[in-house]
Amino acid sequence: MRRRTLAVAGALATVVLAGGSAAAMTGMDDAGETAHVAIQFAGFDGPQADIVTGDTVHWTNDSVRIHSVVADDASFDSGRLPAGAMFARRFDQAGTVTYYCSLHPFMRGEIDVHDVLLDAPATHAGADKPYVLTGRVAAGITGPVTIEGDSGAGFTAAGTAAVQDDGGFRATVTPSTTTAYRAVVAGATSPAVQVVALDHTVTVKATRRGTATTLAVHVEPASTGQRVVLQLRLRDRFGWWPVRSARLDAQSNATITVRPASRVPARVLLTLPDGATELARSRTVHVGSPG
Amino acid sequence: MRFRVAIAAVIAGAVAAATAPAASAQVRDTWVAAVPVTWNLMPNGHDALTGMTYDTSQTVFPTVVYRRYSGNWRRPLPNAPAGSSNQDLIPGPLIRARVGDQLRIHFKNMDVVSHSMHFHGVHYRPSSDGAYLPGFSGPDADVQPGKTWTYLLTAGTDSRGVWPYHDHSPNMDASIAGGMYGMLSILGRHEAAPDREFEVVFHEHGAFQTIDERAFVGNTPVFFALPGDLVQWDVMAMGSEHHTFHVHGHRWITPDGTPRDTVTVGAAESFRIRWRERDPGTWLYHCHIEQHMMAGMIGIYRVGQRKA
Repeated sequence: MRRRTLAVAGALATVVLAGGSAAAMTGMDDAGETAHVAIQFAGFDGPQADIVTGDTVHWTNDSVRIHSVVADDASFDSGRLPAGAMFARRFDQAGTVTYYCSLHPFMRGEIDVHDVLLDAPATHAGADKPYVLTGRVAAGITGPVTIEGDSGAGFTAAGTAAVQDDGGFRATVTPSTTTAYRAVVAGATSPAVQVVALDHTVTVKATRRGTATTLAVHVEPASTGQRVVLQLRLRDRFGWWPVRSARLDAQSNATITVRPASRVPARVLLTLPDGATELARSRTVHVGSPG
Repeated sequence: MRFRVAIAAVIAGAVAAATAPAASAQVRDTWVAAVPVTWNLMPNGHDALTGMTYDTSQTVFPTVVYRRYSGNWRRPLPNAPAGSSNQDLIPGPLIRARVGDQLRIHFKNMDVVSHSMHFHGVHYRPSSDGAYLPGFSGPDADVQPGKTWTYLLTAGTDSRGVWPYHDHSPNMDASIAGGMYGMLSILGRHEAAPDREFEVVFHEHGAFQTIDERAFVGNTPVFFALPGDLVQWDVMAMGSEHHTFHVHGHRWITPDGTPRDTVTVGAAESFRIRWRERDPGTWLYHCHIEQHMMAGMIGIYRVGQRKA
């Protein structure tokens, strides 16, 4: 029995795809796989899921109050689901289906059904090191699958993969930097997944003058325009806390000045454009005046 | 057990408060834009109370916020005074006024779908309602991308207190869910302004319960005060849940004379609480619906010591 994790692009989503326990799969067609969406007290977790055509979605009410799962296009309606109850629906056509809880209409979710899907990368990649992507196609599609990568200049071919009997495929790519990949087969294109390549180093030099500390930041290889974020380790914030961000200049440098109230640990992260997802981090230095 | 009602205070305006010098009514201009941003509801990446860690794929999302600008939207300004909220973009600008003031809220939509601003607690004509109703409402309720609208409001004698504002356009469902809301804070004509004003907006967000769109201690606002400060808590709920506002180590007096340390607030309800601070320490404030607290609706309030 396979256990896999579906690619979920929602803000708060973790959808576990399982081959299905005997109880969970009772009465279901064996074809396709099963995605699980937990119904929480005030939301679907996760609110958006990508599945392959022919997969089944199981919603389980993990909260203490009654919910429901109703399609906006009226294609399904679970009725009232008390605590612990489950509802299942198989999706046999590619496309997007949005749904909501009729008892709490602010609770909304979305199922995106694809003929080909790449699994979300579970780990970061080493720069210029082989990295295996996995995915699935809908029943009846035989491949081969073309893998396309985009590291900033548009999608180009990055590999191919043969489709196995169970619909799964594996492709090896070699990202030199953080790259978005998608799979293309039989006229269908998967959503892109991002492979983060740990290919950068961040160096900082701290200079203190009075209460101000200036950090000279440099990133290799050159990453002009990318964002660096200064984090301070603050007791009030129970950990590392972003306090400043800057964009790297044409020489891949940035300068950040801070005046913390006391002497605290500091580090600089190179991040994705979201300013939060870490690509590389500097050593820890200290900023601010002692005492 | 020691019981000491430390503080003379108030809910929703029944302040037995010191009075401020008389001020003449003003026309107050506020420049606001709807701006797409990327928001992280958990910048420290974890729930410090349980040790649970979260990946940015679970906590970072694109959204649209109300952002304060200088005149004619020339440059962005902080949404709130230092110490009053999470010092970030949610909630939207804290709009302050006094009873009798005229407010001109100049709104520009920098997003790619329509938005609006709808204000509670103040007086206005239908053209400043900002609420979409097909066949009836005007451009105030459906401000298109790149367009502007000026909402004309009056703080009446019945406007004292704190009030929500939020998107009420055809896209309000998604935008309120993403944090497109803020607060009006209206003082009486002669009422003393607080030394510290804290904004607490309870709002569910998927599997998380947030304060000012942040979840778990350290991520939610860290409020500061000193003994002797007149502190004011502006509390409201957005979304579709009710909540209970509770502060540790402090009590306040309701208009009927009852000491309280917890108050219920329903969706789009709002109130303010005031006290004269005198209890140094690090205190928790949170929603006392325990599922909400454990899902992130909790923060800390630090009262320092004045130097001798």
